[in-house]
Amino acid sequence: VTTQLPERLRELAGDAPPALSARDLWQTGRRRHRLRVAAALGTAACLVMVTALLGNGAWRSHQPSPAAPPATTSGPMAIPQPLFNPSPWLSGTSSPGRLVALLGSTRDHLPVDSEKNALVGVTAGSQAYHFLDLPGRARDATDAALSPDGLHLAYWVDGPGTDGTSIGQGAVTGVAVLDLVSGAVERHVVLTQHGLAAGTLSWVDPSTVAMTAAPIISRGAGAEMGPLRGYELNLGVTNAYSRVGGQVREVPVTSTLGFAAMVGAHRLRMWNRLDASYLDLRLSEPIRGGAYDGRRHLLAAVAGNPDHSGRTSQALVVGRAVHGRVHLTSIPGARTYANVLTWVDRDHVATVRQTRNGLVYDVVDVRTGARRELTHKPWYAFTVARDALRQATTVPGIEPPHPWNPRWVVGGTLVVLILVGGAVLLLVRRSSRVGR
Amino acid sequence: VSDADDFAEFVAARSGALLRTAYLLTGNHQDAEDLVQTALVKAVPKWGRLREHEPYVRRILVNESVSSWRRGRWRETPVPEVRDEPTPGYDVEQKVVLRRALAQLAPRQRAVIVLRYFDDLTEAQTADALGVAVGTVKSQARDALTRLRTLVPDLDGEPMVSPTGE
Repeated sequence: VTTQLPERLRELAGDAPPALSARDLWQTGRRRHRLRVAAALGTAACLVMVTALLGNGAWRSHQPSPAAPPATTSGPMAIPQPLFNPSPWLSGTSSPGRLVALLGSTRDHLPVDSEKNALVGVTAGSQAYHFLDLPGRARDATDAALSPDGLHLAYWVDGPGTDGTSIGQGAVTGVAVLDLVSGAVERHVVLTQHGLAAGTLSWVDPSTVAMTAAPIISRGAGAEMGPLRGYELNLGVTNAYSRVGGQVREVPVTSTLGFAAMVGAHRLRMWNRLDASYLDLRLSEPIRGGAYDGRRHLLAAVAGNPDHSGRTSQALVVGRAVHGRVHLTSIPGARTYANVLTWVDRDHVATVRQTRNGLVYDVVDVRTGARRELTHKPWYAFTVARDALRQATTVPGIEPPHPWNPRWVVGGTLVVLILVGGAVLLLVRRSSRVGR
Repeated sequence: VSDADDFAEFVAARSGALLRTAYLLTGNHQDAEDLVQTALVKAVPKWGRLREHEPYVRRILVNESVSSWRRGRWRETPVPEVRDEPTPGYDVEQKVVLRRALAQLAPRQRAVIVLRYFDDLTEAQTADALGVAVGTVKSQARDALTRLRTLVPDLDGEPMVSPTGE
């Protein structure tokens, strides 16, 4: 390059247009400045509005309803009527306090994970809904049982077998009991090499969990399982369990006498936990589930006899134990039920039935079959603490908050920002076309 | 004198010089006019607060030029648009060659060449106008001159002397 460059550039610049053809540059500049200020203010206002909306939504979604009474840890529990399906974005906790009800639901996690069989607790008194964080919960056995007083929750846990290797898919190693007030967890592990096939979980009394489970003898192609047996776990004695039942059937039966299970189609067996002796009652017909009042020797149950089409009638039946036999008779006027949960008083039982819209809990008069609805909830299954069923009082249900789906919030915010940004860009570009 | 009047006086006095700089940066009349108008319009909101107007307008001019080239808004015009009669001793073809050579430089290199060797700015003033470090101006100028030497062979000869003596 030579010293000619400045000269050559000047020569070339001589071809430039002699003067500007546009007028009103000052006015255009002022107008464009005002537009920019307005666009900036508009964008800021939009952002403030979106932030305020999001903040308000998030705040409101985490606030208890102003009408909510305080949580209770003792005394009578009233049943919320109705119960509500919770949002999948509720907060989670291991210490929600005393629960009046336990709901099944789906829980969503960011970014895309979801937990199909999550559990939601409804706190007694306050009716706050929370997902329950259950440490060590088995992935494939998602049943759980709420204690009668609503203070503990029993659930299946998994882990390694006695040889230190992983137990098979779907297997469990025992039961954990969560203290719902303190969040403390007691683990009760049944020592097996390959784990247990989970059966049912129930509470005999406020400090005793009963479970049925079958030991897995071998895994793989020739997998083999032992017979279903009954176990009892006692709170406060960590990792202690006793095998109380021999071969049992998975029929949900509660008894005031202790661990109860069906042995064969017609025999209801109730174990005495002190000496492992048992009382057998021979039933006049098979049952799908029921509740035995040991003080009055009364069994209320749902009949399990198949009709001519092969379907069970699911009628409500009741009978008194006399000399080891129970003759069950249908309750007049009673319709179809799924199970009898507990005796409420000498003439009433708490029942659950399935409707097209979900589960309904009732109190049924065993003399007339007349029933009064306690509570209901659509879709997912739920259970109510047995003490609350025994008291059979209801309060108006308070709908839980429905936090916004964060995915929609993030997506919506992005869309709003893109739209606002696009509008601003459009305004600025339009205003910058000066004199064209 | 109001800001508007002051602005009008500035446009009347300096728009010609700005158009020449813009023409070297863009390579055609339309884009040069657009560039100067855009720079002047953008300078309006701060006009009353500026002590020196021309450096500010020129800074907007060159930066708008660089960003417009990056956005693909301006492209080299393939057909020569030489309106004036060629200066005696200076061939029209040489103008076309130089303009095309400038168009083949990177936008910032072209801005450095125009500011340094047409507007006679120092390296520091050029760096300030472009918002880059002085070292960047030096390297961009060196690379641009190397490229121009290839693209415009008749520019070779004696080593380049900085117009400001730096």
